[in-house]
Amino acid sequence: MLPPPPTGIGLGLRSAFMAEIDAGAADGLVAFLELSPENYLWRGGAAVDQLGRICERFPLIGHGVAMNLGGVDPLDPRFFGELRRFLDRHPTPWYSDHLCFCNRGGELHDLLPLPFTTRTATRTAARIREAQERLERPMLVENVSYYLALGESEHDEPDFIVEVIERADCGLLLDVNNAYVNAQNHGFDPLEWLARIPLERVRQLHVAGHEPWDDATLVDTHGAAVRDEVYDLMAWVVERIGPVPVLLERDNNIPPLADLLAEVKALDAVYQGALARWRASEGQEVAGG
Amino acid sequence: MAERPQDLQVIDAFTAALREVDASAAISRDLAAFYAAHGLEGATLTAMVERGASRLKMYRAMVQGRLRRVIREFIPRTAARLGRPRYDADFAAFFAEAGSHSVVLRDVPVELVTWAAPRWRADPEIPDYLVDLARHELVAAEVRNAPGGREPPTGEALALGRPLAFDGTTRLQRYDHAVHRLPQEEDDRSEPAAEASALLVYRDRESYRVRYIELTPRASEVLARLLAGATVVAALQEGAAAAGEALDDDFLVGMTHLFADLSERGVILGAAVG
Repeated sequence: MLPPPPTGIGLGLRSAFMAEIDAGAADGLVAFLELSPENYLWRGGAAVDQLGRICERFPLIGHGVAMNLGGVDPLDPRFFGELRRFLDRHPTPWYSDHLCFCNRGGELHDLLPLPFTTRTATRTAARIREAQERLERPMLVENVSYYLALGESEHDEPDFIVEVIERADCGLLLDVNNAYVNAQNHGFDPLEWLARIPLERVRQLHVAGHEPWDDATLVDTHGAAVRDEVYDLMAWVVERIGPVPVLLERDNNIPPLADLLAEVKALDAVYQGALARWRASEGQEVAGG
Repeated sequence: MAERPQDLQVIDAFTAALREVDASAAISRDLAAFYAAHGLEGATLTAMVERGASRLKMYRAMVQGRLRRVIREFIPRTAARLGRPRYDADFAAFFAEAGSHSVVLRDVPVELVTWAAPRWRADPEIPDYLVDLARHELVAAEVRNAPGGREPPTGEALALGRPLAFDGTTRLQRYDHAVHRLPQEEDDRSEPAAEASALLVYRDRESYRVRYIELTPRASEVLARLLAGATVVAALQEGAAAAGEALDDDFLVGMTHLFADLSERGVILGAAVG
């Protein structure tokens, strides 16, 4: 039986502050923790024992980086077997990975862009269905930051995402920072982009900080505080879809945990405001009706 | 042969730009030629050329830079002694020729060292001890993250005719150089003694710290056999012979003390069961 999804602001669990979380520093301050199982597979020691204690106290969501959902090479059965065993031990309401490829004749250990074609969407959707069947859990896919479109695009990104998730019949993990970064890098309005995303498919949000690579390019580094523009996009979505888990990601230049918890609190204030607007509008009617 | 779809071709061309040693220069020289050489044609080729080279190079820098940083975190002193140009060149060759085949990022440093070890050993410009140093740096992460550990004692007394059970994190490391005695500082360039060395490495059951015990030749020969599953009597007999020592009282007293110490540390868990 899968646990119910949490709602509110959560934090990505990272080794830099895992011992503090284990010691109770975030108790009552985050709605959930999100973890990347790849960090714990085929592993023992302090981190795994800490995780065992932490997952007794926090709702968990599993979010991976290695599934290679948009890839060409067959899904890795050894990885899926170990991942399934991990998720059996650490149940999460769904499992998510990225709308990208990360392996081609070898692991590239990064989230790499896909051609926005029907052929790629069809192949990716079939692989998402296969992943759901192998894990026996619902899958979400996350929109990524892409810095270079590959090939001759038949679709733009929103149409490509819609085609994939409808063919796969899966949920969407909507990363609003990625939407913002892509909008800046490729010259479109992020709100117009969001308006084309089927929000009824959105099960979770990600927010993060980004940094400039050069004068023309922002990179989704997860290495800075979340920008106001990204807060606004998060709120825009929440006031339309209601309560969801919203995850603060931080992977680089990680500040003290207290600073991250302060950022969680600031995000929660914006989230609660958006939720109040949702309740005041159709959300209340939907929830009550 | 059927023509390959261009969306697969473009993924492969993009991947080649990330991996191939000479890709960066080739892209700078003639982007269209690079893509064409990797099978792009027609509208796909035109679209990719119109998008330019800068973000393609950015991807290459991000992917390779991240992996270089991860590997350096695991083998900082090895990387420092290689020097930046050689480290970067070896990484680039590894990534192009072999690459990573594990979804686990912490496996990449092991993959690089496995690929590089025979090349470093054969290269007169690389110090003889460098492979040992890399292996010594890697074993810390291997033991720290090893599955298992903290297995309960078997409750069975040690017996000559039975093998021993060990904590699951226990490893025996053998080096041709005493790299374990080198200073920890990355800028240190002192050279280790060319001295055959053996360490028993394990993860402390309470603190999770990685512990190292420098072994005498006799201890390493006996423990190597015990870790491979030999009975105590066979390990003692074969270990003494391999160490060129007599299996006399001195030898047996020494091994008794070793077994007692390792039992106290929770490395030996008793006689193996089953």
